[in-house]
Amino acid sequence: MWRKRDGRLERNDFHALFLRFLAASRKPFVAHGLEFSLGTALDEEGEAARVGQWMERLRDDHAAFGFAWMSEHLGWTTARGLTATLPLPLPHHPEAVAAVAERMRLLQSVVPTALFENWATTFTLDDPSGEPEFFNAIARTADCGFLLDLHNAWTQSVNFRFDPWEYVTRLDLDRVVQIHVSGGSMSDPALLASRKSMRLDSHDGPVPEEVWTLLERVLPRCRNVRGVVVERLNGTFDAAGVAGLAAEVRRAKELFPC
Amino acid sequence: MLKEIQGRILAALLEGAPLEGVDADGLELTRLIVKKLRFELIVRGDSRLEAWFDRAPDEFTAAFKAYDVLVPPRSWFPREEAEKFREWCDSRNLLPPSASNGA
Repeated sequence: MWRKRDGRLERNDFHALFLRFLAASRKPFVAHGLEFSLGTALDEEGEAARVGQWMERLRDDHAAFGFAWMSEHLGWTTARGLTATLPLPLPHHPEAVAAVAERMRLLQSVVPTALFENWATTFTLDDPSGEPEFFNAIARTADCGFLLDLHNAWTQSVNFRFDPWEYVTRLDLDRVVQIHVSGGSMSDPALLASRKSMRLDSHDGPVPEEVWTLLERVLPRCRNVRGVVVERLNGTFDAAGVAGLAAEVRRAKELFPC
Repeated sequence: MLKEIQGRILAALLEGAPLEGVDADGLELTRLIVKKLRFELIVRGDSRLEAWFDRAPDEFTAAFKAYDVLVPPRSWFPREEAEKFREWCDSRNLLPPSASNGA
């Protein structure tokens, strides 16, 4: 909903469009961010200015939309003035816990219910099976919630070979406020000299049955969940694909009536 | 510690520097995704640049590859990144008339 002009963040055209949706629908709105870079090192140069701009925009948006909750991706996208656009993994280290927790507390100071989304990555800096404990440590330190992305969890389990259910149930599920389900695809083996293929959280395909099964099993354990979202990237389905996407939304609603 | 690790990861992703203890295939895949996302920012950020790519994909891709190597990524806003790419191409006379500001 933002764009950058003359070095400052400002509302873009989607902002007005969503305000019209809000007025017409009177439904609760939630916010979902990608580039706040929760895990950038706290001593990174220019952080205060970068974060300050972001918080100014968030305050403006929350005043306009009154978000029921907001979420941001775990990881980091920005360092040394450079951006990777893609959330990158963090080491399972107390310094990373402290960095993310500080940013989460900032978000909570504007939108009281702030969540972070578990990641899907193609490389890790630590044993990926230890991620639930890392995520729990952040949530405990910041006293914040989770956006549990089940496709991300499943993607990690496929790429790094562990049991996704065991991974998911090691999370503090009382902290789950929102759940994402989505699809993805395997990377083209021709991309790598080794011909290795990895699963990507590309939101370009139907939700796999394994992810639906995770949703069915985990929902009864998430006592505080308030929403389930089916994610699909714009432009990855044609008119004939709308019926399939609608069926996925119906299936999610049957599992989580709202 | 965190700042140093993030610097090394960026160097690996953007400059191809080695990164010990990390799966090389996974790192390479992320490197390619980062490039793809930058490419998408540009074509989403300016319809004339998108039209240039549609009309002359090899020419556009060659310009993008050179830009990606020479200009560090500092923006994740489509319009801003597209403008930077346009200016860079224009400064090297790579921009076709149909994609210029006067088009």
